[in-house]
Amino acid sequence: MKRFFLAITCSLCFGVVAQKVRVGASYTYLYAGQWDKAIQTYNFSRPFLTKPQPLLIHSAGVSGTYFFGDDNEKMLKHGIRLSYNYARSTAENTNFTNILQLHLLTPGYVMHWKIGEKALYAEASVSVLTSGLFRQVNSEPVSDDDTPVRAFGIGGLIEAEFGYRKLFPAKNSIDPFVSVGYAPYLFSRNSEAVLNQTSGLTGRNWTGLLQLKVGVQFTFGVL
Amino acid sequence: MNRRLFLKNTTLVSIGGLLLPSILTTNCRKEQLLEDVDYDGKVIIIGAGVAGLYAAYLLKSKGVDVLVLEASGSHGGRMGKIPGFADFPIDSGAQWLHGRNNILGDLIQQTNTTVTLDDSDLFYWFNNQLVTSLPQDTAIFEGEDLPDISFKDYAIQKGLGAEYQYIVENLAGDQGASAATLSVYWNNKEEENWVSGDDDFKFKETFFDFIDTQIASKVTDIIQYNTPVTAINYAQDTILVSDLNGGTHQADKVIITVPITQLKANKIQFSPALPAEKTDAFSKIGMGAGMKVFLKFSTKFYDENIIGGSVCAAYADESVGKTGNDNILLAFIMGVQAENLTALGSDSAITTALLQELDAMYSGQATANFIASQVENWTTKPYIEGAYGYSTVGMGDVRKTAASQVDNKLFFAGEAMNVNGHHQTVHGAVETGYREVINLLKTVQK
Ligand SMILES: Cc1cc2nc3c(=O)[nH]c(=O)nc-3n(C[C@H](O)[C@H](O)[C@H](O)COP(=O)(O)OP(=O)(O)OC[C@H]3O[C@@H](n4cnc5c(N)ncnc54)[C@H](O)[C@@H]3O)c2cc1C
Repeated sequence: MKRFFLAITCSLCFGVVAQKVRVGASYTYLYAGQWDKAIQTYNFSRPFLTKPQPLLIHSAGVSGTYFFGDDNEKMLKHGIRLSYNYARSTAENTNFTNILQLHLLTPGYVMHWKIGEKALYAEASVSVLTSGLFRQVNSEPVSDDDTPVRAFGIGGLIEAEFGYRKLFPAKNSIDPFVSVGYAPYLFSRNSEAVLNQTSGLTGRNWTGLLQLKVGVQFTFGVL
Repeated sequence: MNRRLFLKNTTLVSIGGLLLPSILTTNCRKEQLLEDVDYDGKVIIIGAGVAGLYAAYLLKSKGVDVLVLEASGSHGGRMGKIPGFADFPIDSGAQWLHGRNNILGDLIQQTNTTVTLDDSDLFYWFNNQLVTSLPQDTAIFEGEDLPDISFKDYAIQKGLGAEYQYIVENLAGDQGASAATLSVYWNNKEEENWVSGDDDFKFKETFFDFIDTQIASKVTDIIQYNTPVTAINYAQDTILVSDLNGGTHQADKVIITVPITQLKANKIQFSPALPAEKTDAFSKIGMGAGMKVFLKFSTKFYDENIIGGSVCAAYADESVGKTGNDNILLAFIMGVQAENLTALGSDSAITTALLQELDAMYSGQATANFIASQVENWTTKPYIEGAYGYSTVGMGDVRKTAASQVDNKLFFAGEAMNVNGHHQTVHGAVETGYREVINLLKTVQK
């Protein structure tokens, strides 16, 4: 966990000193069918918990992108990006507060196009999506024999992003954007153990992960 | 709003509607599966063990008309309580919660139930001596590339000599089996799915009390006791369930939770007959003999756990995790050892055999300090007739077939029908209870 934040902080600091670096913050709407099923099964099976566990839907994230080359006239640029997203689901019941935490770390490769002479741009990216899923009950990480119960996953994310560049001040820009991404995503058998304390009850251990993102980025240097 | 503005707005809304996937609309992402259960059919559950009780609790809480038919005069099945034998409460059947990362772990937390970790010390009866460790590693029954042969044969293959016979018998006994019948391969393969944790917990009261208070008490009004089901006719839309008392009950769906021994022995006649692959699957799931004998002594001369006896491969100090002064030693006897003791024919003969073994281990102190015994033989209990389901040699991946529904009318739950490695346990039985309620309700979802 500390390493995640270190990586993010490094990329942010890097942005401040380097040219053609972009940092951003975003809100992501997540949809992973198998996880929904696992949490829905958890809720259905526990009538003794009055408040249902919310699905893992809303996540907040930060990202840092570095673009290669200095030629501002080029319509197509390449870069690398590291994003981090965090989603949380909390259900507070009497004596029993259950928290699910999802961390997503996504290193990837980005292609950036200027759209005509307008301040619009489009981006396509392919990334590796890695995740860690954790559970806490009453503020304590759920563990077995002192080993935390957690699950990991990996997938390939393809994303398309559309944004608008607003110069701020002349040599930098603020870019509001929307993006849509899809990742066929393989998660460890333990995922259901975290989500509903079984394995294989809701079926296969892969899911399609859909991400709809809105956010804003700050670009140091004109792309 | 003028017409142009109206058209512009509605166009935007419809484009938005097209672009936004349906998943964004909250309706499609319900937090609860089958959120609006609206089933007016009748469900009969056969068996008031923990699987049946949980299924009944869930269906009742969803407003479904449900009746539980139980063969015996009480609920709980392989869970029960022995009153008065000791100055602390004792479970006659299941007593340890195996891991807390499961639905019962959540219920324990939510209800503030006191459980304690049982990490009591192990002693081995090895080469006629009590020792704290064994010369050879016996953790050979898990890992990669294991063969589909018995624990007994594999132990020999791996060089564990005759002196390890009852150590291995204890490992198989843990799985409710004899070393000669438990498959190394299938046992390991099924155990790989185990996710509930490796710690064992004991209840301050009893496991039975916990299930009784938290689950059974919510459904006792819909249990019909002393009603052994003998036949199920599911040829028509309405299912006819006949019992030994001559009663017939009508239902639209039936959940069968009886122990696998009862299904293997065709104690319930199905008409039409169940598919052959299903009955074949039943026959491949093992369920061996099992008993618990509680021995009361005037002093505590014994160790917390004694593994490897030839009469009983696992003794455990029953007072661990309990508050009381009585000295109770549990003899946990499974598989071939339970068969041998059952063959002795009486509780007193069983007690004598155990005391003789303990005398050998503790220089005659068992007989000298003996006060009383209580034998709970699950092998001879009607409608149970064994301990719990185990993985036999050559079993194959049959549990899914055994547990599959028939004609959208018959649903199979119970410990042995757990397909995710939690068979043999109370929480595993509960999981099958709610799994089958979900499967049942999915068949009637509007
Ligand atoms: C000695 C022993 C120790 C155990 N220790 C543990 C432990 O420490 N921890 C653990 O997790 N698990 C333990 N288990 C296993 C655990 O008890 C079972 O997995 C669990 O209780 C099974 O529940 P069930 O509902 O599937 O079946 P059952 O409890 O067997 O319930 C089935 C019910 O069906 C009824 N029935 C049968 N036939 C008919 C019929 N024809 N008509 C109507 N009703 C019928 C029976 O009377 C019974 O009430 C132990 C089991 C034994 C025997």
